[in-house]
Amino acid sequence: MSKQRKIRKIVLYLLIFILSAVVICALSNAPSPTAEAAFRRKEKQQMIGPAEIVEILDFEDNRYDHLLISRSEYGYTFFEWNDSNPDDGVLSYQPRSTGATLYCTKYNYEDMSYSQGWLPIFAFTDQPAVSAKLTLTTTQDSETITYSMDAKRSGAGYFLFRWKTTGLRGSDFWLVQQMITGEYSNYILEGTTTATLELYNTKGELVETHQFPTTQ
Amino acid sequence: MEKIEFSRWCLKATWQIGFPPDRKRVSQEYHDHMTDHYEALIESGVERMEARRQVLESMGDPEEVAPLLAAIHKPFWGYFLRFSRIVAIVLLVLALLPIYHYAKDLHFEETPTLRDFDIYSENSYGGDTGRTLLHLSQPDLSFRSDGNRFVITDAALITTTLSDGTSERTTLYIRMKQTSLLPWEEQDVYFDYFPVSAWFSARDSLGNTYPGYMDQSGKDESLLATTGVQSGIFTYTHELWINNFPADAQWVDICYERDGRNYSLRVYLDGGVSA
Repeated sequence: MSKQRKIRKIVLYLLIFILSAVVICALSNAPSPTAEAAFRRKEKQQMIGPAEIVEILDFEDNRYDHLLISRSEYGYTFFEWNDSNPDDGVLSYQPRSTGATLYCTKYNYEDMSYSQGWLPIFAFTDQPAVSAKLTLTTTQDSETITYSMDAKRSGAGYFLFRWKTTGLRGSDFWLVQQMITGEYSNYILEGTTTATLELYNTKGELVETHQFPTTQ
Repeated sequence: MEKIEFSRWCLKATWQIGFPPDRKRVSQEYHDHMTDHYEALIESGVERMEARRQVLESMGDPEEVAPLLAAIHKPFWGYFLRFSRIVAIVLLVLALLPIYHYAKDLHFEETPTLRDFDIYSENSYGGDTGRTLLHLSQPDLSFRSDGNRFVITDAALITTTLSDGTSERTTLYIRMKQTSLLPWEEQDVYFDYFPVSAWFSARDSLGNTYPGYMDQSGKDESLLATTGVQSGIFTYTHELWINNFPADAQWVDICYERDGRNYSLRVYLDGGVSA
């Protein structure tokens, strides 16, 4: 067999190799080459996006190493993942609310052991405010507790509140999480939660107030 | 006699070629050439001994030819060809192994029977008092989104006697097939798994709304519950159901309204086969 024939056959085998590899990858949910590719794949799987990536945070807080924040015309998407396997990351979607949108990373009971003692709560708004105050009010058995926290606007245009979660009363953590994420919970929660977001301008004047949950 | 001598010459000339199949092929080519030359000389009237001597002389010293041939026929391409063939065959076999799943993609569904609807509902535990397999007379109960095609294939209304023995309730079942040419974008089958139908919702002709499983605003009794199963390489089958569905509703809309998508498939609930 001449050298040219050998090379032609090798090219043929290479094509078979590539086609077979593609099929095997498809069958085995091949790992995404990058974290962004894993994020895009999750978007496709949940039929949302494609959203514009706003920022990627190295997230020292919790179970995951990184948090990707993205936005579209209709909502905000969050992707948390570990360096070891981006395909095991968790995608959450929060539709835009009128005026401002709240979001917090979602925990299960099992995940709480990974928490460093605070829950990140994000606020997004188109208002050109520079600082914000978030007040969480939880009521259980007619007893009301209020939690307040402040945040400066980040360079990417959102507010990040760090809610200390150590020593909280009973189900307050889960009540707040469910109110913000709006997702179904397996746990029976008795109590109510509201949140108030106050936005301030550069002079420290209150420019806007938003109540959550918003009335649909 | 001359053939043995020609073969000996070929053997000596080619023994340094590294890739055995090449060695054999080159040796055969030289042997054929020498034989042709020999026969041509015989035909022109040269005596046999003389013809053999002329042929061998024209070919030169095989000990000198051997390193030249080895330099031309390097073994790399031969061994690389052999290696690539083995790898390609192994991968091809691996790719074709799950032929059963391909077959499921190609399989044409038989007409669903009333007994096909025995999924994760309480109906599985209670006694059925009536089942109606609905006629889906609409020409196209499908939509496309994000590279997927969703099509409602079957629907049924099932009436169940509850455990108290007196009251009944009706459950609406809907089966929907999702097809995607990129299976890895179809469903997340490993971690934090919910089928995409968990974000579907429904509303009926009486004005009732049924939020999707992932929407906490829905109470348990008015959810559009869902489950799903990989039904082929390229297909995924979702089963959706609503318990306590009003028996007098005329139609139900199955909706996907999320992040700018807005799809709705209307299933009419009249007609059908009772059992």
